[in-house]
Amino acid sequence: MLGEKASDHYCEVTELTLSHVALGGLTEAAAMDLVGNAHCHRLTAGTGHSIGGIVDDAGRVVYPGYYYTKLDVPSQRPLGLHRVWDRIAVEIDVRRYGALLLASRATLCGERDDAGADRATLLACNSFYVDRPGREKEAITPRPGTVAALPPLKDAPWAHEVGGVPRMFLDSQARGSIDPAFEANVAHAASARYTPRFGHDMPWGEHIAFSRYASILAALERDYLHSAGDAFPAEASAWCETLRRETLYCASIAEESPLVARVRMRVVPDSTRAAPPERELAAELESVIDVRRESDDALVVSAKAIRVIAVPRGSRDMRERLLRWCAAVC
Amino acid sequence: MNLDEARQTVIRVLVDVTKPARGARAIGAGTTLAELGLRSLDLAEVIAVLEMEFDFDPFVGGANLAEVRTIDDLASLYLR
Repeated sequence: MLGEKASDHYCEVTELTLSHVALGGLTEAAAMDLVGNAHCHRLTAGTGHSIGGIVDDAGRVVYPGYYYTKLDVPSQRPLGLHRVWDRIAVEIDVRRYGALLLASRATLCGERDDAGADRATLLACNSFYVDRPGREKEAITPRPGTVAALPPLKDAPWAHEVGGVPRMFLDSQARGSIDPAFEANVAHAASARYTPRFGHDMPWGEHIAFSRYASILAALERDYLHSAGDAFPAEASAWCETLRRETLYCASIAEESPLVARVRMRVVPDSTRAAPPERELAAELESVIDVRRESDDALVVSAKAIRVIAVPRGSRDMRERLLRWCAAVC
Repeated sequence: MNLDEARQTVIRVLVDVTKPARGARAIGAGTTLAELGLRSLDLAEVIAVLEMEFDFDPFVGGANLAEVRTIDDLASLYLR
């Protein structure tokens, strides 16, 4: 992994190894981890310490927790096209928004992609806090010098994309969903359960990392579709690609406590999105998932996603069954 | 800028950002942030908007948020 600081943009090139993607391609969670790593490195560039060295005046570790992310991926270049041993360039611009908030925009692309090629982007918002077990996180300003000097958000060309996010976060939290008015057209079992496991979803004694929620949400979507019965071709899930996922992280989870998700899903009729090479678009799905902790009904995560199922050319039977399922839903 | 002006700006931003049920008239110099029931992200956003209003951020310069109790505590940080 190589890093360099150039103007307001920090760039890292990482080889996708077995540790990142096993034998497969880049996933949402792995992509978010790569951005998260670059974010941590940018925050502490030149300070002589790593992320754990960000402290407040009392010496308590101050954590830049994520409360919002928005991933956008070009439909013709899904993340999974980046395979194990490919090299991925992450370029990130991290800005401060006041003394307590951060906003960032990152792009991901293959190291050898054309300069003009569409790239995946991740917008993210963080707030500095110290954990107070059993109580609300305490917003805290890091001790001067423990965070790298960062330019202000107001000067970023993408500032308008995140300026309203804190208000949207608080409003969504109060309303219980990122999109309370979202109307589903896939109508069946409206809730699903998921129990996070230590050693799988989070390390023993630690919180679930923000990126892990992308995997949990994808699993909930898959379970939801499969619960539709025989009509939905289950094997099509292997060809599901995320084009957008906007996620609000409202509470942290550090226990094997059941989560209950309200899933709403809509099939988009007559999608005209471009498909990846050698693939054909068979379905476009939008979803809103609100995940709550079963024990106290606290909203944990609320997310809105656009995903497509783009099957290999030649998988005519699977594509036709998907089209029939979509037509029946719409 | 004097303390009166700074206080008015702080109250205006607080009301704009957090839209408290009690309204601006019920917020004064001695109102505490705790009384306003601000959540941590509310306060973080207020401070971010105040930076744009005053064109500087006292917390980046080392002011301690934990020592800010009242509206006037906050407003006085923006006097220079």
